[in-house]
Amino acid sequence: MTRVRPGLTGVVVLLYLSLIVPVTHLISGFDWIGWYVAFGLMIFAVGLIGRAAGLANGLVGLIQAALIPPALTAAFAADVAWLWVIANARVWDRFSDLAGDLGRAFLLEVSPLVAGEWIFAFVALSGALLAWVFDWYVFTVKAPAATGLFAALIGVVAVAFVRQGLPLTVFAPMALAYLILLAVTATGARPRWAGGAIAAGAVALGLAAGQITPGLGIGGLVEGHNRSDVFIGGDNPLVDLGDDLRASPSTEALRYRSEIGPVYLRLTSLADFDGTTWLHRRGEQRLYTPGQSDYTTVPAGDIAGGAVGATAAVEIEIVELNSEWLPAPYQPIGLRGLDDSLRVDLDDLTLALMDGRTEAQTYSTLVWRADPGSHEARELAVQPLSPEAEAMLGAYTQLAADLPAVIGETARQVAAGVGDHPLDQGLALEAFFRESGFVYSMSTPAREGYDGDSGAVVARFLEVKSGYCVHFAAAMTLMARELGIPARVAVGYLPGNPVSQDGAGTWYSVAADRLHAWPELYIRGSGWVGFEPTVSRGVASAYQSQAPLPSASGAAATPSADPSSAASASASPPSRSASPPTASASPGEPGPDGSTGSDGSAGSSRGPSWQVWSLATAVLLVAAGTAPGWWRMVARRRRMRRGLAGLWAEIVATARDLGLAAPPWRTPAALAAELASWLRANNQDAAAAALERLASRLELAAYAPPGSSGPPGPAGRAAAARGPAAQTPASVGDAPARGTSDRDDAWAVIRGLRRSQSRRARLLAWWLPQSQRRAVRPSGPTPRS
Amino acid sequence: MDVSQQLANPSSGLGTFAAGRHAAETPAGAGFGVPADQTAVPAAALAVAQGAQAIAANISRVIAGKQKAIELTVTIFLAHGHILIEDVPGVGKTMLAKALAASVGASVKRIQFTPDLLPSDVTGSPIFNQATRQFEFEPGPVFANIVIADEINRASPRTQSALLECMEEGQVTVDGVTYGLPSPFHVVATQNPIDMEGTHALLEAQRDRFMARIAMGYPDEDAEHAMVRARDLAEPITALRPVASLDAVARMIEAGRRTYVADAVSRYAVALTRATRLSPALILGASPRAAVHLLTAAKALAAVQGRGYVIPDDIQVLAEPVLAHRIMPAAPARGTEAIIQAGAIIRDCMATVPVPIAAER
Repeated sequence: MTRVRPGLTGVVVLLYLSLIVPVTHLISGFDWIGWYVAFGLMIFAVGLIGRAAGLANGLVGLIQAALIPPALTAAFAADVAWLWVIANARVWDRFSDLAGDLGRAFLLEVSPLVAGEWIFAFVALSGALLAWVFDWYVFTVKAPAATGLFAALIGVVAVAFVRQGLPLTVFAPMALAYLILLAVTATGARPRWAGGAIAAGAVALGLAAGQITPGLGIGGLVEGHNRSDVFIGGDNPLVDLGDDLRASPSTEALRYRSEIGPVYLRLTSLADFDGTTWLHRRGEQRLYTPGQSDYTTVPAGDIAGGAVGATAAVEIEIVELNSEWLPAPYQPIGLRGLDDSLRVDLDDLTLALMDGRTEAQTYSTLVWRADPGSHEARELAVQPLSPEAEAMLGAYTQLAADLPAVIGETARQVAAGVGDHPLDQGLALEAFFRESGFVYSMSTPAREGYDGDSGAVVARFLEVKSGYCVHFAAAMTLMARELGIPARVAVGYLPGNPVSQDGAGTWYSVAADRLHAWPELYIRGSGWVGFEPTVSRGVASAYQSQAPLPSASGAAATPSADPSSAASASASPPSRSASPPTASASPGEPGPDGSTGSDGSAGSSRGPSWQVWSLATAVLLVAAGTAPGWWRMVARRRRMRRGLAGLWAEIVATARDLGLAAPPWRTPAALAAELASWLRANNQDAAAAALERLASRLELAAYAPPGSSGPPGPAGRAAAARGPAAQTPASVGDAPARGTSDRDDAWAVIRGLRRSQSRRARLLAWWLPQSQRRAVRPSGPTPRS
Repeated sequence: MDVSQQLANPSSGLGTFAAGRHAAETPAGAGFGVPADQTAVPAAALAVAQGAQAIAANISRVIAGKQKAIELTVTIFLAHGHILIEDVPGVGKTMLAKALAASVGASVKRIQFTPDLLPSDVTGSPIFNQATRQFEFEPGPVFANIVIADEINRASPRTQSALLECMEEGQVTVDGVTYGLPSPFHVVATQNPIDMEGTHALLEAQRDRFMARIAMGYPDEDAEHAMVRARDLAEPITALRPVASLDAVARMIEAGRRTYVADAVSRYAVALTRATRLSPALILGASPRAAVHLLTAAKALAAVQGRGYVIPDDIQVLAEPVLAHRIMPAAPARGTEAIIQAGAIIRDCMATVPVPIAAER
């Protein structure tokens, strides 16, 4: 016998709450616990109340599930929703944004996840679903042991995502709560230790899996350690970058003070290209501890930098950026003020923090600014390098075998006539992109189906001439390699906008959506030199513009570069003047478009999806409100097919719906008599007669010896059984009843019962059918303990 | 809503259980009567119904306004069960027992139980015959078809036991010789529920032997007045003549025994009995013998109503008379309150057992 068990709910809630312990290692802060508890308890409370009200278990589960979407809407998008709970386009956008944040975070972030709105939404949703699953398995499926599997699943996730590994003790509360649940639900001779063993095995398996595959699900660009939550991490860093770009908010990520005008802040570089994907090149690494107050030299490899250039100081203040990579202008030669050690990639000077995060760090870098356009540099460029350095550079000119030919052809066309100096060729390539009709567009690649960075995508990009930084950078890098110039894709931040000025330089503010990719070419004698092929973005070769201009020989060699670089280099206004075109593109990128764009769907597809969402919410709400009624109709259909007993059960249920007492302990004869007299009192004589016929037929079918069918017809039997003194007028109505079918009679009775009640009672009967409440068994006249 | 309250209240009289076809004519009874349409009824059941109605009518000539008690008594009699009539003095317990005996042409003995009554006064004892110079067994009053044991609780437990052994075994053993009792053999015992000095209330095990306990209750005002007027002239009991022969009674009992019981119905009887054992209001529920008695009585009731099969209504009607005297409440009431209390508990138990409806078999 099932009965409401508040104690059991308490134990399930205990198990649910015990899962908080391992998850605290997964999410930083404690604010999320409130959401987890609130949504879980809501589900459990609805379950408890529903069952206490006597609703069928399945029905309770449906109501619980239907409540989740409106509750989420009310919690996270009430300000934009209709009536706080009904979804509309803006609610849809809100959740799209949250989902975008969520997806990115799960792909990229390193535990503990930093709490944010999306974390709360995710915790609330998972909490509600978990509570629902617990409730469903314990009360509806009646397999409480199964909750262990879901609890173990949470454990597996926690183990898998927490980098440092989890002490087993965090699972103790969970195990304890689970054992209590098993003990409470164990029935007599059949203890459910089997289920417990399964669950324990699952937990052990989860732990083992966690040990075997540390960092499961978190793609590492540089194996095992260098993970950034900013954009790089998945299988395809540049595609991720595009996604990030579309989804990033325009909030300030960092600010810097520069003595030398705007600078690109580099996070890392991608050099290994297999034809489809760009990856960070693994090279030698060195541990490095920056000084607190004095600059200490950043270790660098043979090919890290060049010989000709100047130093400048850039002070960086991280506002809101969580990454393991330190943003820094190239080439950092000194660092100070950082309270953490770094791993330095000797090849490309990617600075990876050992333990901490970039968040809230303030530090200064001493930057070596190559001057590739200078005379000395141009002279040095022809001198041979050491064999080791040549070998290292070789890796940066490798090209995938199946690279489309059009890339090389285009490169050679562009470079024709500018001489064989790599700087000239690089500037020619840059000018090609900026001046031959390329258009910056976040949406075109996605729409045209060539989003990404593979060779084929680059070829298509050269044809369509529309894309964003990833395409420009990848295309130019490949073209440079076709020309024999070592090249790689740098990723980091655009220079940003100047905000204020003080004695030590200009402060620039960089928004999170200034994520960028650009090519770096190795110019012998000068080292790695960045270029800016992306139209309407950033400043074209801002830092080397000083070099070519004063250099007499370079001036002639780089005519094509001059117009653009001169314009942008003249002062910071050009850097701003680059903003208008950027701004014209930006309505489409960092805003709501970005989130849906990242799904690969164009903006037009959003209309139907939110309407569907709203409709679904409305339908769910209506369904939840009227679920008992629908459930009742299903039950009626089922019963009406189950012969006489089913018909009778349906009549009894209808009577109960209408507020007439029809407890299960009343015999058919007694109930029939009572209901018949009620029907007659309400002028439903035909229904009363039908009811009596049905009751006597049922009695014969249910209790009489097999094969005995009241010879003169069941109706006659009913009259006969009523005894000699029964001279009720009902016997008159028995006569025409012979041919009527059971179903017809049942319908007649149901109709009669309905007509005998007021409209209000009928409506109530449909909306909140009492028959859907479980018949509470101890319903005797005197309450019993 | 008044109607639902009325429908919902199962304690609005025993009549509720017998509602429907029975309710109109016998508000508180098992519902006697020969079916109007006799073609639909098995001949055996019809005979039982007619016989039972005749007996009941005969009895009601001397006991006014107690239709329910009379019908129940006849039903239990035809179920071949012993009857315990328990009520306050002067409501016609003994009259009912005597009227029943007089109506069936059976041999009747009446034993007035007193504290000094000995077992041999009930069973009989060997008497020395001067003529044959031998001990001869002189049968006691227990050798009769119907034994009226008046005020059984006034006798010593030893004497009570002697009678109860006869009831159980249908025979008497004196000095190693076993004497069979006549058949049918019925004990109709009466008992006063008001505690009195020098009485020994029957133990549970002894009460269990009685198929049913019948509470008479006071007659209503008109019936009481009619009774007073009738007694003016003569004792009406002397005018009663048998309306059924012993043979006829034996045939009726046999027919009742053969009443069909569907599986669902016998299960319902068992479930009801078991429900009393789960009731927290009781420290002792009904025995398996109670379930047997319940079903046997229900079969007789079905036959008495001219029905060839038992329906759950039969079980419900008989649940209180058959079960109430066997249970032991956790907080027992005293006197006539105890009877009311036991009935309420049985009805509560009944409300916990759903009636089985198995139309497809």
